[in-house]
Amino acid sequence: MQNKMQPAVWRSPLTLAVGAASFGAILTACLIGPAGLSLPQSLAALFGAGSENAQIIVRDIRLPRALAAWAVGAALGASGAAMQGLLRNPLADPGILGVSTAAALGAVIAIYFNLSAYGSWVTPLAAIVFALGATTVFYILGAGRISTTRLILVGVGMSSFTAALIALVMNLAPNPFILSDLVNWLFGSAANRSFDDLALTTPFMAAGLALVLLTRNGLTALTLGEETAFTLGVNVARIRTFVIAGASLMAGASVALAGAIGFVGIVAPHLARPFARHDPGRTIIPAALIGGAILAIADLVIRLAPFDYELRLGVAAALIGAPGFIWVAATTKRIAA
Amino acid sequence: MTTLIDLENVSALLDRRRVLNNVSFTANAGEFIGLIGPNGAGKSTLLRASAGLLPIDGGTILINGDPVDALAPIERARRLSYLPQARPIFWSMPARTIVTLGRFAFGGATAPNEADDAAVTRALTDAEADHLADRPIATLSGGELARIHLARTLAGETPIILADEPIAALDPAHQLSVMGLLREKAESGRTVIAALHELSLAIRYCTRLIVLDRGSIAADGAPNDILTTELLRSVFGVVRRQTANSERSDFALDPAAP
Repeated sequence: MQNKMQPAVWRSPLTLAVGAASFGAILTACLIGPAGLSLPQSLAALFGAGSENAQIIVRDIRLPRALAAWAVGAALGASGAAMQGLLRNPLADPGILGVSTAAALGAVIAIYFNLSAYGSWVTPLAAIVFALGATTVFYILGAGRISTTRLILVGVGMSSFTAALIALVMNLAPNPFILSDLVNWLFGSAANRSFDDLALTTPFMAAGLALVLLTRNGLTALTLGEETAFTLGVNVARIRTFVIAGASLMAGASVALAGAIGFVGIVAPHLARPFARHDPGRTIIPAALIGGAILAIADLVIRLAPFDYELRLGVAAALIGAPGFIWVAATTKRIAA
Repeated sequence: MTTLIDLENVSALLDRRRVLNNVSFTANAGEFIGLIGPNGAGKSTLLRASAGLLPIDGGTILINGDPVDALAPIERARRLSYLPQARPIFWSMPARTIVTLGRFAFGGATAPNEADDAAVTRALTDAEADHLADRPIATLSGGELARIHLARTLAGETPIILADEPIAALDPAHQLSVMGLLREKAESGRTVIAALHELSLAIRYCTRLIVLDRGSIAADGAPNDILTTELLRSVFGVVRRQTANSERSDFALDPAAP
């Protein structure tokens, strides 16, 4: 009776509930909006019927936006769960190593030099390239060898430095229009994202997810600390390498797709953890599903909110997420060793 | 007799301070070796080096004939299990999941098969921790947690068990049962090396004692042969008082100490 296996993640009640919520939010996002389409018109357009305009509105504007919000939430949730497992800290964030700010720096530079004139793909690509560059710096510094504390401190330094460079670019902005573009982008949003943007960024998210899922068993063993995990037969250096690379790919691709969106990567794993019986290896997938649902629903709420100016997704995420962060910080119990 | 661990002239540095100095001994199957010595004598360092956790500065450590630092992680973990002195657990998983991590090297950490489940159940029973299996570890007391860690160490059923102060947090009854259990494990053909501070229990249960003093072996042999008045006084600063009506012994501070 003690041996009963946990049900597979995809058959658990959590998955069904969160999956239904995500699907509901994405479908609703496709069906409603300010374009004045009726529900049947929108539904028909979603499945490729009806007027061309309606199809463009539903399939090329509403659907990719909703999917982008969901994908960013899922990537941040999975990335945060893996990073928290590696660093054994429930307050670790996908951006803790500075990868998110590096990605933002890449995008900011692309916007500053108006590189999107060469194509809308340039800005997200610059973000991904910078994220990969920041990750490479960690390998040069020996991410597999240096202590966890040192890793975090180097990350804090990287974040601060790249944030300073972002500030520098904004400081040098030649006119208020560029500055406003930069600020708007940095707020984080899924609005106006296309399937091209999704096609450019989601492969990096998928690759990152695959990498961190390979480390699941190692992350579970790391709950006993790196030394004990080592004596259990865990290749700790490899786990670190994979998690840092995978989490960075997901975080960097998220920034590339939707700008800086904070706190989902901390709150989603926290919400997922009880469903995984606090096993860090089994938290990754539930955290992805919860993160996706949170941002898909949040983006829908933003679109429906009766403001004159649309609230940015990153701002909304921070408004909900920061209190969530405080809640996690205040209620997390430390286990007596 | 099978030699499971063989140390030759092992030296180790911590922060450039020499904490092990030309330590040599061989440990055979069937031995329950108590590693004793005052605080800072090098007991934990010796166990950590033997588990492959600490690079050594000189000498060789052979595990079943192979240098410990040349073994692949999985192979090393199949030959020896290690119970550290500091035992952090960062996430409040169910106790049984923690014990199951002892099967990691056998592929059974997250998808345990029947053999893994059976080994985990045996380990929980051995550590008298069956009733704790479903409890989240954040709800366990220090002594209960220590038994879960012991069960985790036993779950691999490895030929070599290295345990750093396995009975430190336990109540008297569990101290006795765990020492008895480690003795049993040795008698079933394993090698058990445990760092211990409880001299009277070490004398009673261990088949052999190795006394470490300032990084060197001060004595090595059968408990009652080596724990001479002179050694107890010079290494530990205590004297032994033999109680007339039993084989138990107790210790007092050396009245002659400065």
